[in-house]
Amino acid sequence: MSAVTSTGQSLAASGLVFTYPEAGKGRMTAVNIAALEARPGSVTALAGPSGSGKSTLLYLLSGLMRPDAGSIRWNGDDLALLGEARRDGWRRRNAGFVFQNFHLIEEMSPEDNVLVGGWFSSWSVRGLRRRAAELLDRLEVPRERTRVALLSRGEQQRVAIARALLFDPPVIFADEPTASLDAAAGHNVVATLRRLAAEDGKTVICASHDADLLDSCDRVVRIDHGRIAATKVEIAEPVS
Amino acid sequence: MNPLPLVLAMLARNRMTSLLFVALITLAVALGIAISAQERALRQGSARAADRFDLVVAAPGSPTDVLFSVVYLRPSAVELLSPAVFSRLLAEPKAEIVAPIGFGDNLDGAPVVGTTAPFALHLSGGGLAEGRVFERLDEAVVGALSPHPIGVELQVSHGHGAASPEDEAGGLHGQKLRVVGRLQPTGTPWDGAVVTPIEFNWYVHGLGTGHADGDTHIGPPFEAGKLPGMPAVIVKPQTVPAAYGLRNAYRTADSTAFFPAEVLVELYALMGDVRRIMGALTLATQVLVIAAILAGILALLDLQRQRFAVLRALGASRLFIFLTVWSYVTLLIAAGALGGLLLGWGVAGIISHFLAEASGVAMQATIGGTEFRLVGALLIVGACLAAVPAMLIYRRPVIDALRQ
Ligand SMILES: Nc1ncnc2c1ncn2[C@@H]1O[C@H](COP(=O)(O)OP(=O)(O)OP(=O)(O)O)[C@@H](O)[C@H]1O
Ligand SMILES: [Mg+2]
Repeated sequence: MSAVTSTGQSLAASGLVFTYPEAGKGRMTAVNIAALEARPGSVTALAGPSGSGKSTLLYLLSGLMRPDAGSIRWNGDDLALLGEARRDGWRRRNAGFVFQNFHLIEEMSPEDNVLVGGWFSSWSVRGLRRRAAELLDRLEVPRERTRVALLSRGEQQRVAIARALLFDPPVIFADEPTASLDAAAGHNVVATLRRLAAEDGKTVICASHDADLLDSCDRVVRIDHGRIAATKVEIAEPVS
Repeated sequence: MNPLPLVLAMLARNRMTSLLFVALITLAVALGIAISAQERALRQGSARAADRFDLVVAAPGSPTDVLFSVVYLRPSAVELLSPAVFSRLLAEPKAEIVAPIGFGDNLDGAPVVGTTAPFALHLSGGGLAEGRVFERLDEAVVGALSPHPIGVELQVSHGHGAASPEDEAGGLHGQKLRVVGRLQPTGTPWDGAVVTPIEFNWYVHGLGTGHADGDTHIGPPFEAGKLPGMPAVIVKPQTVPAAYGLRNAYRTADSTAFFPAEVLVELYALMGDVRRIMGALTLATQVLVIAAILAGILALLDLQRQRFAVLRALGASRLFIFLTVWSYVTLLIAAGALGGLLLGWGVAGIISHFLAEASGVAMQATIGGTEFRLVGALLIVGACLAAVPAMLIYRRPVIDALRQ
């Protein structure tokens, strides 16, 4: 597969404004983005100092929060206009989420963790087991462990990635996916995310300050005080 | 949507706390169930015990005292019924059995009760378990649970102590009795008693035999002039109307007549008040326990809010989170309620066993509609209350928890 297979549409935000209420001082603008596009088959990184608004932007793009103004377009839907229940449904169908601290259910097996999404989808978990096993094999997670707590941190993060891939969503959001891993494990996760974009045509969006990750991204969007400070294209952008 | 795996994971994660919650609910519910089941067992047992004592005629006074003496063999000092009334009763054409009852003796702690052969048979359900009914003054039948075998000779002492002055006086101490039969189980303290002819009772107390000198037959007819007073007479009327007729006829200045059920109903009414108070108290206990547990669960769930936030991020709806928390709490309450039902039943069974042993009144604690209703009500209330933590978790913003 080539890096330019991208049949899906971009995730495109424009005029995005989000403010947090602030004690005594009215509201604080956390995100103010004129335009941002993340394309299928590419990894887009949101970089910037702590508190610059990377996570907030990620939560907006994934529909976990609703912006005060602006639009987030994906396949004809404007997430900014959808109610909470429909945004939940959108995430269920279109998005996978990877966190800094994995957020796995420790007392469950790797496979059951991957199947979590099956509990609140209309799919039968039984039918999904095969898929879960394949994903774990592909990501080289030892499947036979009874509890994810017994896995190494790098393996745990790969379980989390497998969980995000259960329904083969077109978009993967990752908030500091390598921040709690050592260099080697982090590198492995970065390579995995890259492969998902390059081979499977996923739209991958990461918030990170990991230099290794930023180096291997297609695009790095630097955020400062909620605004885009610079956009750097590392690798030739795929033509859509 | 299937919250069950997550509920199981929550149970696994909070194993000890969940177990503690269930145990607390179990104890609170068991308390209510045990009281309710035990109270009914007591009521049914005491009512069944009085079944064969159709109509009791005694001297005017407290029917309760007479009832406890006659049916439950817990003698208290009651006025004696005049022999004249007894003679009148004997002449009643509609009275099938007219049996005087006499107490006052003891055999190794077992009461020795005097009455007539027909009443002994009636009490035994018409026929004996083994042997025959007494035919002579020095013969006796024993209750179903009495340790004495047929054929054994018993030595009866008067009263509770060994020898009383009365024994020296006219009474006969050391009178021998031969066991000739055994009654069917009656579910009353009579099951442990030694039942003798009433003449024996009168005789050992120095009251004669109620018959002319030299007349050795037992039972009616009696010699009117030789009869002593007696604590009570049991009458078995031929028909129900006859029973009411006799009861009214013997409510006079020198006698009272009553159906044991009437007295018991009054007692139960009293017990019912106590039960209602106990019931209210146990209900309050249960509500308090559940409230405390809900508070505990809230604290517990607060520790897991991140998990719920992650599920939301992965696409779980609020409804799914609500269902998960609600199922978890409801499961705990249901497990506690079911455990409480079984434990309460067991405890009531044990209490009944010991009460039956102590009182001689057979009783069996059962779980019936009342208990199921109690548990059902608790389940409904519990399921409603479970919505409180579920709602609180449901309303919590996702992002705050995700950031931690
Ligand atoms: N719930 C909130 N209420 C008020 N302000 C908030 C809230 N959450 C975040 N903020 C503020 O919004 C700004 C952006 O926060 P955000 O978490 O998006 O930054 P970030 O770039 O992800 O930082 P980090 O690199 O440390 O993860 C920060 O100044 C933060 O303090
Ligand atoms: Mg962040």
